[in-house]
Amino acid sequence: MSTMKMNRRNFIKLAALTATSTALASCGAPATVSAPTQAPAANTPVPAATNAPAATTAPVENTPVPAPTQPPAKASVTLKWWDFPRSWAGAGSAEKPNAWNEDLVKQYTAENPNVTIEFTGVSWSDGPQKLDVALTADQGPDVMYGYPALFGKMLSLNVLQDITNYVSLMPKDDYNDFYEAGWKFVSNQGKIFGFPWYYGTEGEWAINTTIVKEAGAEDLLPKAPDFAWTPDQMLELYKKCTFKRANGDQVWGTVVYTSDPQGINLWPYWSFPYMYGAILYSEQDRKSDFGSEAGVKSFQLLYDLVNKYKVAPPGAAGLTSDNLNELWNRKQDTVRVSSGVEIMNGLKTAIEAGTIQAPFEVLPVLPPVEKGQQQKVSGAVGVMMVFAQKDSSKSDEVFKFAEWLTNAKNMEVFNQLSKLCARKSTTAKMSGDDPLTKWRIQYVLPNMASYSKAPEDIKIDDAWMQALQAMYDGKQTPEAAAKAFQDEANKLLQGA
Amino acid sequence: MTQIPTAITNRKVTAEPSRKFPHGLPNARTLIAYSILIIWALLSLMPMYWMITISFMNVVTLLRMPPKLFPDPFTPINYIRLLTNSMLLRWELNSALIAVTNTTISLFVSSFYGYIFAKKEFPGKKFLFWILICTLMVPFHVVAIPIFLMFRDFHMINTYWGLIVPGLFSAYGVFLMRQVIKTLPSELTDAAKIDGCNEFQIYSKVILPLSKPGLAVLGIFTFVGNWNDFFWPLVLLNDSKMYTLPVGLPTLQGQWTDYGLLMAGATLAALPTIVIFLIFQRYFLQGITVGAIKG
Amino acid sequence: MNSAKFHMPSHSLLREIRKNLWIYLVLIPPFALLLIFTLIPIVQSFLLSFKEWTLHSTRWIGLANFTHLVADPVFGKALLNTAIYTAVVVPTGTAIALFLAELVRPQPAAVQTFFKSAFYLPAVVAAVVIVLVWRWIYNPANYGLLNYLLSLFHKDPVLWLQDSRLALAALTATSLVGGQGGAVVFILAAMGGIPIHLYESARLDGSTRSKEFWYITLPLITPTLLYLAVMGTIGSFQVFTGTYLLTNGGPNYATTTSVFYIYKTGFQHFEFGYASVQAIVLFLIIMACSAFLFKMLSEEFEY
Repeated sequence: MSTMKMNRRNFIKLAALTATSTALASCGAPATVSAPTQAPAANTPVPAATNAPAATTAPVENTPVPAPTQPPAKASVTLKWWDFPRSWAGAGSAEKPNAWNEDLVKQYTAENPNVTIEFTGVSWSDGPQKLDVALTADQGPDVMYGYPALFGKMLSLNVLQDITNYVSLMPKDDYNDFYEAGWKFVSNQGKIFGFPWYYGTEGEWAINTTIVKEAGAEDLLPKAPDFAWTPDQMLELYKKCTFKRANGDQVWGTVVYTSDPQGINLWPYWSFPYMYGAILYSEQDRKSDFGSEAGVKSFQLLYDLVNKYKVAPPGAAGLTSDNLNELWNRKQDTVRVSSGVEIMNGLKTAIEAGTIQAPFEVLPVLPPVEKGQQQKVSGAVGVMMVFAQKDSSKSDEVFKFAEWLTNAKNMEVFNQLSKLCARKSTTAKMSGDDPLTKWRIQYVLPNMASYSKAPEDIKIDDAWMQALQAMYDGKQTPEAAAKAFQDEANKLLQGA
Repeated sequence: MTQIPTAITNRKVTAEPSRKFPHGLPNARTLIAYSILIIWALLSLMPMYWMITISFMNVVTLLRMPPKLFPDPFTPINYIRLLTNSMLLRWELNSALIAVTNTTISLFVSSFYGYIFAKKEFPGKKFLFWILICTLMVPFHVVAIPIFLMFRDFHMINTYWGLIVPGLFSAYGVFLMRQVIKTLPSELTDAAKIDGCNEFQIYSKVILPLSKPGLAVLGIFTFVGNWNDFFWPLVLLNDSKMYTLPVGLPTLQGQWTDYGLLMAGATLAALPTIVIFLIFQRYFLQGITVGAIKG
Repeated sequence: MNSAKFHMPSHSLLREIRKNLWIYLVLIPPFALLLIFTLIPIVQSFLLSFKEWTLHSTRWIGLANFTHLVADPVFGKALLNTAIYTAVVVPTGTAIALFLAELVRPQPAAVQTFFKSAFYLPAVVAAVVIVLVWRWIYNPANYGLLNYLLSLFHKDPVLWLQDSRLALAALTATSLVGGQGGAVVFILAAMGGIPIHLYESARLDGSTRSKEFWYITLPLITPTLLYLAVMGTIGSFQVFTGTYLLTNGGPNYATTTSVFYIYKTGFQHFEFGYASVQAIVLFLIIMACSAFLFKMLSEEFEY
C-alpha cells in the first residue's frame, strides 16, 4: 500500500522540510511556518528544492513513528473551512448560498475519511470582522477565500501559511496550469500563501440593450470587436436612454449608489477615476494624489451625472445596491457599471425565477476610457488562503484540501459564473468557442487592474465612500471632496 | 395608586350615583374619540399588516407593480422556500433555546431573590438593594465592549453560553418579584415557619405558588425581551448557524432584497411573540405597571 | 434609611448578621455576577478609553482618544442626531400616549382592553421586524408604500431615507408611529388609580371634560409621566436598530446616532479604545439626564 512507502519517504521529506522551515524561520519569516509531518498528496520522490544543512537531525525520532508529531497511519484531523456566499455555485441558491461548499465537504470527507471538515458560511459584509475576532481567539479557519484586500490584510497579520515548499512539490504540469499572474498575486516576497482560485474581471459594464432599442439609440452602443468607448460617448448614450415611459416609469441612463456598510463594495465606481487615468491611491508608493486634476474630473463627472445631466436618479448619497437592483430588474436602468459578464450569464436563471421579465438582453462592454488613457478593468485574483497551523501535523492536510479545492475538476464550478478561472485548462474547457470568453481573454484580461492588497485598503475605501456621500449631499464640491479624500487616504497610508 | 395631594382628598363629597358613562351618552365627542383611536390603531398595526400581506406575494407580483392591499395571486411560496431551504428554522431554534433558558432561570432566580429582599430583614439590605437598582440604570452599550472582550478571552464568542450568562441575574426581575411578593401577607410565611419549614421550603411551597401572576408577567416579559434582543447577539455571533432570529433576518437575502421572502421570514419571527401576547394579554397589560407605580 | 446608625455596640448587629449569614452567602453569586457584568465592565470601559486597542495590541495613549473625540466631527454629529431624535420622540411620544389614554379612559372596559391590545401589539414584535417593513415603506422609487401613495396624487417620489434633510425625520417617524403602546397602557393604569369621586365632585361643580383633564387627571399622573420621560430618554439615547438596518448611518452621517457610531468604531473598525471613550461620554450624559429627572421622582420611590 502506498502508505507504507510514504512513511519511509516521509522520513526524508520530513527531515528536509523541517530543516528548511527552521532555516526560513530563523530568517525572520513570519511565525506561520511550521514543520509539516506528512508530505502533500501530490506524491513526488525525494524533495529537490531544499538546502537542508542538518538533514540528520530529524531522523532522530527513529521509532515506528518517524516524527514526534506524525500520527500513526492516518489520524483524524478536523479542518475549518470558511467561505462567503456562493449562491451561483453548484446547487447554491439565494436561500442556501453555501450548498456547493457543503457538497464539496461531503465529497472530500468521503474520499478522505480521516478528515472532518467544519464549514462556516460568512457574509461579505461581516465576514472580515468575524475573521478578525476568530483569529484573536484562535478559532480562525484553516482554509478561506480571500479577495485581494482580505488577502493583503491576512498577509500583514502574518497568519497565513507559507506553502512554497508544498507548491514546489506539485507536478510541473499542474503548477503551470495556473495562470502566471495568479501565482504572482498569491505570493509575497517570494513566498506563496495560497492558491489562486478566482481569476476574472468583474469590471465589465453591462448595457441593457432592450432599453437601448426602446430608446432607438443602438447607434450609440460601443461596437465590436472591442466594445470600447469614451466618456463622451457614454454620456450620449445616457442622455438618449433617460426618458419616461407611457406608464409613468422613469428610465435612467445609469444608477449611482453610495450607501453601503463598507466602502469597498463601491469598487464598480472606481471605473470613473480610471477613465481619466486616476487611481484612488498607489499601493507601491503608498500615497494618493486623487485630488489632482484627473481625480477631480472623475468626481465632477459622477456629480454631474446626477445633478447636471440628470441621467442618474437623485438621492445618490443614500441609495444602496438594493435600490440599484430594483431599478435594474424593472428595466429602469440602462447601464450598470460592473459584472457585465456575470449578469449576462445569469439572465436565463433570473428570467426563469421571475426576478426579471423577458425581453431582457444584456451586452457586456468595456468601461469607457478617455483617449490616451490606459484601459483598466477591475478584476481580481481571488485566493484560497491557507492559514498557519499551531499544530504542524495539520498542515499537510490543510494544504491537501486547498489543493483539492483548486484542482481542475473543482475549478469547473466557474462554469456557472464567468467561465474564467485561475487554471488555463479549465478555462479553455469551459469556454470552448464561446465568443464572450474570447473577447475577455483578448480585450479584457490584459487590462485587468487588480484590487489592492494594502491592509489599509478597507479604511481608505470607506473614506472614498464618505467623500462621495458628502459631495452628493451638497456639503462639499467635487473638488473639495476629492481633495479631502486624498488627505484622508494619505493620513491612513502614512500615519499608521 | 398614585399619591393624591391631601388637598383634594379633604374635599367634601356629596353623594351622587355614579353612572356608567359619567360624561353622558355617546355623542359626537365620543364618535370623534373612537375615530381617532381607530385611525391610530390602524397606523400602529399597519406595518404588521403589510408584512403579512407581502409575505404572500411572489417575486413576479412584487416586480410588476406596487403593492395592492391584498396579495393577488396569493401564494405561500415564500414560506415554502424558507422552511425547506434556509437557515430560518435553525434561527428559530436558537432563539427558542436562548429565550426559554433565560426565562426559566430568570423566573427562579428573580423570585428567590425577590423573596429575600421583600420579606427578609438584615443589616445592609437597603444598601444592597440600592446597588441593585443602580445597575438598572446602566445602559448596555457601556458594558458591551468590555464584556465582549472578556468573552473573547474565554472563548465564549459565538456560543450559546455567551448569550445566556450575561442575563443570568436580572435586577429588573428581582425588583419586579419583590414588588409582587411584598404584597403577600407575612402570616403565611410565619405559619410555614412555625410548621418547621426551612427557608427553601418556604420559598418553594409558599411563595412560588402564590406569586404565579407575578411570575407570569416576568416570564412573558423576559421571554419576549430575549426573543427580540438584537444588539448583543449581533455583536456576539459570527456564524450564521448560531444566529438568533433578529440577527439572521436581515441577512435573508441573495443579491438583493426579495421582499416577499424577507417579509415571510419576518412574519415567522414575529409569530411566536404575537401568539404569546394574544394568549396572555391580561398579564402583559397588567405587568407593565407592576413595580413602577408605587403600590 | 436607618441601618447606618452604629452608635450602639455591635453585639446585636453581629448577632443579626450571624443569624442571617445564609442570606449573605446566598447573595454572593448574584452580586458577583453584577460585579462581573456591570460594575467591573464600567471600570474597564473607563480604562479602555485611555488605550489604543486593536485586536492584537494594547497601548496606553493617555488622553489621545479624548482629544480625538473632541475634534471628531462625526461624534459631534452623532450626538446632535441623538439629541434631536430624543428631544422629538420623548415629548411627542409621551404627549401622543397621553392623548390616546385620555381618549380611551372613559370607554367601557372591553373597548379599553381592545385598544390597549391594539396599541401594545407592535411592542412585542422585534424592532428588527418592524424596521424591515419600514425599509419597504420608505422605498425611494414608486414601489414603496409611501411613494406609491404619493404617486396616486401625482406627486414625485420623495427620497425619505436618501435625502440627508429627511432621513433623520423618517427614522424618528418609525418610532413615533405605533411606538406608544407601552406608554398608553402605563398611563391608563395610572389614570385608573384616580378615585372616580374626584371627577364626580368636579362634575357637580360644573367643570368640563377638558378642565377635568387639566386640573385633576394631569396633576395626578405627573409622576407617571415623569417616569415615562426618564425611561424614554434613556431608551431614546440608545437608538440603534433603525440606523443599522435602514441607512447605515447615512446619507453622509445624517442618521448616525451615538450608539451606532460606537458600534461602527468598535465592532466594524475594531478601535475599541476610541469606542470606549465614546461609550463613557454617552454614559455620563445619560446619567446626568437621568439623575436630574430621577431627583424629581425620588419622593415617589420607596425602598
